[in-house]
Amino acid sequence: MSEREMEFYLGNQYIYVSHYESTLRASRIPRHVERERAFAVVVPPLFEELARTRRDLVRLARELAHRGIDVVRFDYRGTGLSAGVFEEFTMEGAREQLEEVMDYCRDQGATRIHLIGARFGGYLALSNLIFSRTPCDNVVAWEPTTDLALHIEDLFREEASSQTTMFGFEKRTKAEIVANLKSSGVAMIAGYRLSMRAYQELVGSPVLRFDVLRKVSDKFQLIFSDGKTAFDPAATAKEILGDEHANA
Amino acid sequence: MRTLSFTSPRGTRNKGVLFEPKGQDVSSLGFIFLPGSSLGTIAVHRLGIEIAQLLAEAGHPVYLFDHAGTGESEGAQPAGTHDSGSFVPETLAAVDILQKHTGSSRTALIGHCDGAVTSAYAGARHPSVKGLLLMNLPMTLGVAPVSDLDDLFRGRSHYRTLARILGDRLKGKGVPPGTSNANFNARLITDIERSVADGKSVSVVFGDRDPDLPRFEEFRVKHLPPSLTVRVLKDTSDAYMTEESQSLLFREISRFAHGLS
Repeated sequence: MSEREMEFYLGNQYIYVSHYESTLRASRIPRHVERERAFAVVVPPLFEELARTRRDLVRLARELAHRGIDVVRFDYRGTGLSAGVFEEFTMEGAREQLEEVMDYCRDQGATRIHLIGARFGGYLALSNLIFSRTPCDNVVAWEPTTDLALHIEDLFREEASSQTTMFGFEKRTKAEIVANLKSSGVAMIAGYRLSMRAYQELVGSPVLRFDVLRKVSDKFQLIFSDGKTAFDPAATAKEILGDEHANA
Repeated sequence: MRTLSFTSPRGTRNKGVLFEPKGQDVSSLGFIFLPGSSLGTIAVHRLGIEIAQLLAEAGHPVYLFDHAGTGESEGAQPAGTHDSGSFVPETLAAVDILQKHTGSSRTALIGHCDGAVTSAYAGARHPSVKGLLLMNLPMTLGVAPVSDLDDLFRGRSHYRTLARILGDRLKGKGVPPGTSNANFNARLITDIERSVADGKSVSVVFGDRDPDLPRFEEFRVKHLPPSLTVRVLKDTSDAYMTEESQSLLFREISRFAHGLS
């Protein structure tokens, strides 16, 4: 397996991309992978979940690449190692960057693209499957967020907790933060400078409801942690690739 | 910014990003930011990235990298902890890489939490490190005789420090209630002393809401050189989660960089 990082430019915007190229010998590539050149794109979480899951997603990418799947990871503009500041992050931008990465995979010869989305990335991946004009072939959603308004609520809770720890009380309430967001166009929440546009996009995003997901139920799988077992990239890779290819 | 990797002394490939100033005279002073946790460069709401952007805008090249086994880097984490100096060899290699790729002749290390410990150790050992900004030094302060002897036998302490501790005890300088009796980090003291003695600029930054601040103040009075610069930022925790605290921190970093330039 070889890894290479590169810079993607969308207009004059730079996003960080890392491509884990599989160099598995042809005889050891699982049959269903060999017939087609499968790529997996890791669609990352947001906020501090990005840092907390990063190592696990890197290990998973390497494990999948060892098993014959090219894996591409990226960071949304203003997050992770991509250029810009967090207030430049938008939902529209995130979708666009995901599509751009998928186009890169097709340029590299991908005939099938699987999205592995963690948390917010799970939402984006499932949204791509359901709503995109050039959707992926299937999704593995790792503890996906299905309601982004609730996801933002978690950020406000973290902010409230941080303030209470620091000051003994909530110095700025959610209402005050949102009012500041509306008046100035940006507000700091739990260390992240969120733009009004991103806030509106996130809270206004459709909930991924069961009746919508059911229509594509043959094209996605869900992974949940039990909260007790340490992450095992090999086991997770086997789970993703399917039992019959467990020993690839 | 661009990706920049290097092979560590242990043979692992460490990945990072280099922030290079554009369209202006590039300073001969480069910076490396060392994050505190094992979560890598982007942890703590990308604090390292924002600091790098701030310094790059001021004309300084900045390198951020992930230690082995963290973030993007390969391999397993080194055995041991920041306290035991496990991350120092990679850090020293990173200083060389930064200078090689940017032509900078001097480097300053900015470390956050455990990264401040590694910065202190590494800074004392690299001749071209000229400045250290130690943010929120984690306090592992212990003066229980039993644990000190244990530290001594395990090579984590030394006679001079023990003599000082015992002398303080005899003089009645007690340990504040609630102080941890964990291993005493004598190496941190000696390396900070060494950097100060070598003429390096050493500053410590704490937030007034950081729970470690009281213990640091005690530690500082007893063990650190009086010439050490210490700044305590108002209404600031160790995570710099608010607009105001980040603004204060960035101002402090700019002041530190300006003083070294």
